[in-house]
Amino acid sequence: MIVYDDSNYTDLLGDGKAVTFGGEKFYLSANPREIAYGALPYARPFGDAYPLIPRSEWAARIEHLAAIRGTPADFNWFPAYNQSRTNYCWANGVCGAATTVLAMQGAPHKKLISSASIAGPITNYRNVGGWGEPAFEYLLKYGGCSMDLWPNAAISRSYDTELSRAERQHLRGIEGFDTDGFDQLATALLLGFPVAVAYNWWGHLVFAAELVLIEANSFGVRIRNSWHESWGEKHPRNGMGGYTVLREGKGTPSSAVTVRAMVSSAMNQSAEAHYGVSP
Amino acid sequence: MKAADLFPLALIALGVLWLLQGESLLSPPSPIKSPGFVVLIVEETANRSQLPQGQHDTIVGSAVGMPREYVTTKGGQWRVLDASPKSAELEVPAIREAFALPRTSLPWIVASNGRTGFSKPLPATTAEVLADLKQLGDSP
Repeated sequence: MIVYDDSNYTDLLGDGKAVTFGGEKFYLSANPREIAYGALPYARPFGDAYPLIPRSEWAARIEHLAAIRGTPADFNWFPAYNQSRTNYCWANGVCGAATTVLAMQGAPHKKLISSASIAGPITNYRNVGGWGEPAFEYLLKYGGCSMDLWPNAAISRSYDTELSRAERQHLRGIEGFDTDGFDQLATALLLGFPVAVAYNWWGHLVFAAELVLIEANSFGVRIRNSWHESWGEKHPRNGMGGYTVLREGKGTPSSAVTVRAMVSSAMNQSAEAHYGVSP
Repeated sequence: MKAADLFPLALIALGVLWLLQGESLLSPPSPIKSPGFVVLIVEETANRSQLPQGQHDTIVGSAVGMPREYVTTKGGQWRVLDASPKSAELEVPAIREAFALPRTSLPWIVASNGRTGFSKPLPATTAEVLADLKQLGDSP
């Protein structure tokens, strides 16, 4: 298990603007959040609903959740998101967390939410960085499209069709929580909620999939990146790629949103039959 | 023929009926009309930290031997949905029907194999949930 902390985090920074991996350039483009914790109009503060789980319980809970396959990571049936040459990490992390929630709810379909279907309309189809909370707000208000209808890195208005608009209501968020600090992040993960986490030191946003014990009394967060399935390490239980571990210091998010619940939809039929419109 | 002589015949008739009707003579009827093996748990996700460990395990666990794994292996439908009315409005009829049933507490479980089933508070342990579900999933 590779752990990133103060000793090696610069390995993740590339030239400070982009990281080249597998011959492809991935842009660092999460912007610092513009609103203080607790002030988001569309996401309640995490602390209002959930008391912190004491650190003394973390190690035992981590072990138990791994045994019952009960962490958000255990529901990552899908390949890691690939933001490709877009600056849309801030939407990819949110969509990865939301797709994880759908799996945990038992969604009858295998749809992946397209980050470009959210970031494109927000940015007026410009390839620019952003912060994750507007992506989450858009997911709540309008929903996203599946990658079947809108490829994940396709920054083009041409995908905004009658069919893709009809699909949005089926891939919509219900509620999430504004999440602050490592203890709230750890509590969310131990309760079974994935969290979109932004790191100003990295200029990047990913999603947190589980809390990990690195060594006695030292914890980290296993994040899943959006730099292709082959980046990072494979998950020790689900065998999927795109993961790494950030020790608490570097793993403490600059801002974070816990995705709590999604609309559950029976969109497992052909698009035309389901929506009643043609592509 | 005396009444006492009719008793064995009545038992035989009941037995034949039992064979014809399967478990439905003794089991409660399904709480929903939709066919198939369907399990829905409704929870208030904002209250998840208040759940006893057994209920939390049922909701999040996916390992072999957990209720979720049992139902999906049997080809059944498994959902864990927030109590928000938005949660199930676009779901398949069976889940919408189960979601619409009255609940007196949360978390709540509705389960059906199309013939029999239950709608009740989620039991405290995964073992209890699994035992209940096997009554439905293992019946012919």
